[in-house]
Amino acid sequence: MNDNSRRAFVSRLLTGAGAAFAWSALPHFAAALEHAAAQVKTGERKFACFTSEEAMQMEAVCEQIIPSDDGPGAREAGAIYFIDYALTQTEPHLQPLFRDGLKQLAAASAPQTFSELTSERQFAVLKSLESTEFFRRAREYTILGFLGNPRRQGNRDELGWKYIGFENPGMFSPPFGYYDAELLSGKKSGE
Amino acid sequence: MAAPARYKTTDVVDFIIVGSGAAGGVLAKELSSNGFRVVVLEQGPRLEPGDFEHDEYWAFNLNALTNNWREQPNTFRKSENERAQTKPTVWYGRLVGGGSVHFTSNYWRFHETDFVERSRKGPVPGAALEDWPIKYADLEPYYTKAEWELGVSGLAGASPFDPPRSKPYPLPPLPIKSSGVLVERGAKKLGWHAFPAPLAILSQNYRGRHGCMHCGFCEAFGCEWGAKSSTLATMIPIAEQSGRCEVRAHSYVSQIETNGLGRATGVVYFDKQKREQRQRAKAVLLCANGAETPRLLLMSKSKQFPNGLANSSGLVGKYLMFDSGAMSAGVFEHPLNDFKSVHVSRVIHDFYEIDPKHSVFGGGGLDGRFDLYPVGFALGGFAPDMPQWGREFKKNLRDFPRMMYVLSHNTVLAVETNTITLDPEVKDAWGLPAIRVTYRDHPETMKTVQFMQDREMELLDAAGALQTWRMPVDRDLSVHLLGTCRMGNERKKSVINADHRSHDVPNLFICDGSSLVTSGRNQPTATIQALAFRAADRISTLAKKNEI
Repeated sequence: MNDNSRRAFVSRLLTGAGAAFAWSALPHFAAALEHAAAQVKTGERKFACFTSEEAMQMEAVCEQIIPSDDGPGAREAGAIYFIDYALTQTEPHLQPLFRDGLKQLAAASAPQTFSELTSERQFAVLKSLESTEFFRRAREYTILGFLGNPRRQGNRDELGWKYIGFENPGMFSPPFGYYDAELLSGKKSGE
Repeated sequence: MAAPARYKTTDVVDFIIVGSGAAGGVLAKELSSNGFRVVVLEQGPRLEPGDFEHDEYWAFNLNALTNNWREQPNTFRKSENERAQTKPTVWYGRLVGGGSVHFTSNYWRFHETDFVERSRKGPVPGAALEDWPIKYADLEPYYTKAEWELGVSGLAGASPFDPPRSKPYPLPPLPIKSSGVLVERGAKKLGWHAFPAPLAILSQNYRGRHGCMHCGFCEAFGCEWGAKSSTLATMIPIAEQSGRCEVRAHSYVSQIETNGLGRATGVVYFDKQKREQRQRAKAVLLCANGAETPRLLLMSKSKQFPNGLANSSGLVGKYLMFDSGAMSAGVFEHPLNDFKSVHVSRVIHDFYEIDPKHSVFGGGGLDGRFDLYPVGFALGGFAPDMPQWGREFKKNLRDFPRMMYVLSHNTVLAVETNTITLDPEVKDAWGLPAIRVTYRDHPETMKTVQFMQDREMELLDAAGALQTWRMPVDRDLSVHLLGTCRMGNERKKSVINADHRSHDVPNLFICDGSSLVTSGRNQPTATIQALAFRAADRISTLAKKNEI
């Protein structure tokens, strides 16, 4: 169940005191979700904040932070779309930090561009920038784009969540994990 | 059922309550139910359960439920000799319901010792350790009242260290989680006693509210089921149904006004459009939290009160106590899936009073818990010497379902130089002086933290963790904000008396984390709410006798 159908389900379930609470956010939320779904469908690489060149460099940074080696990484999850979304929709004040950061990155990679470097060279360049505010933010926003709620346009198809083993259906029932299941089944209650 | 009251700003209501959180929500319900006309002024917005998202970016980056440091900067320094730097330092619930909306819902009573540590253990050099003017027995009926009125789940008598109680919990504990099973397993090996966590979350339907559906988003989030016993889900609707209480969101109080007799006449506040408004009242109650309450008193200085309001003692803003504690991590063989359900299911209080042979002051409690959602886990769940990005980092992310964190919550000693003051330069988006925090833990507090972290590691090992690590213990960001308008009998050594009345201004009352004399073991919400129920009784009695 995605967040949207969870909400519909939850609102159907609520009765009595619960029904008195308005589900005021629902229409807005559904619209945002549709928009995201439409964007995924078209597969177009359109960015509101980044130029396509900037997006290419930024995405190469994301890929070093969460690589696509043993399963989908920042690239497949569309972390770049989350960053583009955040820099235009919610935190435009961070644009100068990312723009300046990309310039630092270009300077450290010259005469090539960062994305043209070998993976080993890219890693070394980022290592040299590790203590900068740009890298701190790039790391944070790549992680948000990999593991954040997909309604923010990253973590596509919940790829990040699937990779680490997290689910967000909106409700669970016991047993929750191996050890409480073991206790419930009476096999073993401590040693 | 009456409609919520609507007052004019020119109406002289009985009480203005500044802040609608753990304490303010309780006082609003109690005073309006007792027949008084109440206006609650809340800085933040009013959100409903349908607004609560499972979205870390929304909660942690956009500060949807909390103070936003871009609009309300803090400054921080470790000692008075330093110039404070702008950085996030105090973090609090900023919406109707306040911190009670986003708290993890741990609901520990203080024990008898927390009220009398000075007389039991004597003074500690460099610490402002005092007994409370009230004892556990004075507060016990109000802990019980809070548990029943709000809805708290737990098992009475399950901890051999619990203080006496007059009534069991109204609801049975939440189901045990894998982390709880592992905590029990470790505790058993070590000869400790794990017990079901007391939580302000409904394990079953209660008083027209829905029981927990185990969605897993408690800490730092609001409950879309209304199963978390926040004042938003419990007290505030009752206050409004009384027909005598108006809760005004987006109302940011900048000053308490006084007259020539030294009595409070009302408050000045900014409304949503940042227009200045004035509300008049017969009495003012401050429940704005341990940072905003002293800040407001300091901002309310006048010719008559040159050091700030209610500050003849000079103690407003002093004795700040942060939420000190340690955290350790363990990876286990099988998945715990600890992201499901409430965050804590088992607690250990064997070290609530640390054996004097260890020469460590006070004590603490331990819990095994889910503490970090996916983004938080990746950002800050690993030890600093582990990979923080790249291939190895990504591989380690896969440990997420097999993780358990053990947290300790311990005594924090009050120190006179740990303070909330007004920053002389930095202003917020309303032009008001920023909160400046000066803070460095007492060395005895750091010893207690270290002692408790050693116990965390023992517990993880005994529970069978395959890999463990310690998280750093330095804290310069706090969600528990305690002690800054201390309660006491002597007006030179405290800001309020045992009735929560300020010593200096007879119709100004203060009840929130700032009232606490000691930190307990740093799970303060139950005590703040018990104090609020007790304060409501005291204040109602005084008002009815016309003694305010």
